[in-house]
Amino acid sequence: MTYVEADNILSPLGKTSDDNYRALLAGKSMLHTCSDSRGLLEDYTASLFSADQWNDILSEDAPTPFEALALSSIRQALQNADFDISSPRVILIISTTKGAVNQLPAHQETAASLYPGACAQRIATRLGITTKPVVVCNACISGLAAVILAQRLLDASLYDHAIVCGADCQGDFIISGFQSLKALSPTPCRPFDMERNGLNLGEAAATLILGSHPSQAHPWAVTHGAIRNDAYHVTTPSRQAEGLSRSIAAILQDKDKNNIGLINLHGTATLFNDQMESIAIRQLGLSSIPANALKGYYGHTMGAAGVLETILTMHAVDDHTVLGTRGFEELGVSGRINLSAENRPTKKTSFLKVLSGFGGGNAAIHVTRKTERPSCPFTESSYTTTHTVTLSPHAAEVDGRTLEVKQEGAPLPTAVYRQFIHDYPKYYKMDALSRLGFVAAELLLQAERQDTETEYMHDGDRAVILFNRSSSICSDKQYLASIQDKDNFYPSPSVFVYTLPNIVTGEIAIRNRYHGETSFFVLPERDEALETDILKSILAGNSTKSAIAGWLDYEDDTHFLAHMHIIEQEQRSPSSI
Amino acid sequence: MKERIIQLLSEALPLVDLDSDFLFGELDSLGITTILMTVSDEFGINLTYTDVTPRNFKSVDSLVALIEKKQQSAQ
Repeated sequence: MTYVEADNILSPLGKTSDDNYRALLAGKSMLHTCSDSRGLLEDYTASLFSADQWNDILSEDAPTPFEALALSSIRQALQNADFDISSPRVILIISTTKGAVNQLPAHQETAASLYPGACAQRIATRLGITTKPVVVCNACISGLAAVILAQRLLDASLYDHAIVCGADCQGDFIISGFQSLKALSPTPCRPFDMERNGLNLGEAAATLILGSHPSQAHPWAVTHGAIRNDAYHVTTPSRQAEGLSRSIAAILQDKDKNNIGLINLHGTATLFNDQMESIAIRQLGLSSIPANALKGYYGHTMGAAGVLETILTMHAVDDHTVLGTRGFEELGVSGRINLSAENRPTKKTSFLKVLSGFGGGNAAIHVTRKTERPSCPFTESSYTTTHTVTLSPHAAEVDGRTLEVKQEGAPLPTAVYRQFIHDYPKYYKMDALSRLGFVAAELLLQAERQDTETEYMHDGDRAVILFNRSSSICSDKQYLASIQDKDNFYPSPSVFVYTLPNIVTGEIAIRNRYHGETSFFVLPERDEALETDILKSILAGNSTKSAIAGWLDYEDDTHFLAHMHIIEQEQRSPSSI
Repeated sequence: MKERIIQLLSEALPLVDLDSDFLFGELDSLGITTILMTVSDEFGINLTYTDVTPRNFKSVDSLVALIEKKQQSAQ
């Protein structure tokens, strides 16, 4: 059980969580039509900070607007928390999809200073946090993935407090990308509605401060979280809602469904996401539980969404309210969902929050007022490494044995693919980071198959957990090149998709039909101790028994490294919290 | 028109249940694209992704209504 100590939302609707909640209660939204005076972007609807609001945020005097936004929200939340922020028992976890990418065009030569981990380190330093921060880059589910990571690290007694901040800024990079995918609605979005035709974008920062001990000031706790992959497609959700159904089922195992007041859905208002969520709700027998979606107020706030929407739902349930789904009028999905455009009363004290995202990831958490007993005993874990692969511009090694590869340097991953794998044509559509990770994973699995002599089919119990420092910088630069010149403005959807580093985890999951957890973390620098702590905390859960894990970084064609392993859970020693 | 649409889509999307109460739920992105292209070619209209809503793809009857609306707009 992980306890909420404080929270904050900083959005175009207000500077505090309470301001934001009151605005939603009154049905307000800052979604409006935006036009691009340069004529590069089509008109779109979004919820963006005004110039005055940005002036206020940028008074934080941080190097990038993204960092200023996160710092503003975190500092506001810390006003209601009481602990020594410099303690080694405090960790900062940032959730973001693109961080400071809007500054990349002007700083390509010093891009490393804009890596998400570098931004997170500067945020941590400015706050006085002395431990290394972690950035969760897991596409749209990042916010919930960050909360889940915090819960695991706290449950493992590695830290006493976790500051979880989700933030993203909109700009040409993200807007043009979603336009190239034809995913945006030109008008305010309509979650789950018969007339829905796409999502809106939004920007915000939201902070949850979580702790190991109950807070007198705050009644809420996160009891359980789960992440599962569809193993279907990197951008299209599973039509059978495979991953979302599994993640929700995982957190409901020992819960009293009768006390669930509502399910706060992802509800992006895209054609297929909302359809998929309705299938999951129907399959799990949850159709009668009130549900809502909040993107009709804010748009999709990317890395902030999971944290922001969780905080709002806590405030709403505190107020005995299920907020209405703005933009919804008539159900336009196959599965029955108990939705309403109007605010509704509730007397219940817990809720589910779910998200789905590119890369096939799906996340769900259960949040409750602290009246329920902790239901998930913490189990210490350790793991063994069964196989290791190292790929760099100069070498390819499997379990310490050097492979004879016909080429070195940038062509090495593809040379390995052609020599040792060569049966997956989709390889050629992947970006450099995904190719490197895919090849490394294939070599690991070949070694495993030789070792065991049998094909062990992992379904839901194998995770794919990867770390790096440079996020998806190669694809970021490649995509940027397609939009930087107004005379040659050709945003490429196939390149844009790979500007999320977690896509490689989805590619591995799809290839091997892994429905377990997939996660991608960006660190300021390689830190094996921190990676080990995170992996142990993931394996301490009841469902993940093994993982393809490790370091996967592709900074450019002469600087790349895959140092990945298959790890297996070792003996388990149960202890309860 | 309805019979012609059923004939065309039965050939193009043989695994889709065109009699479904909620046709949209039977389709994936490829199915929708196939319908857009097939119907546009057959009836001389220009259906694009902006015309794709669950309502417009709810049933074959909905598709007929969409086509007729597009034809009237073009006149």
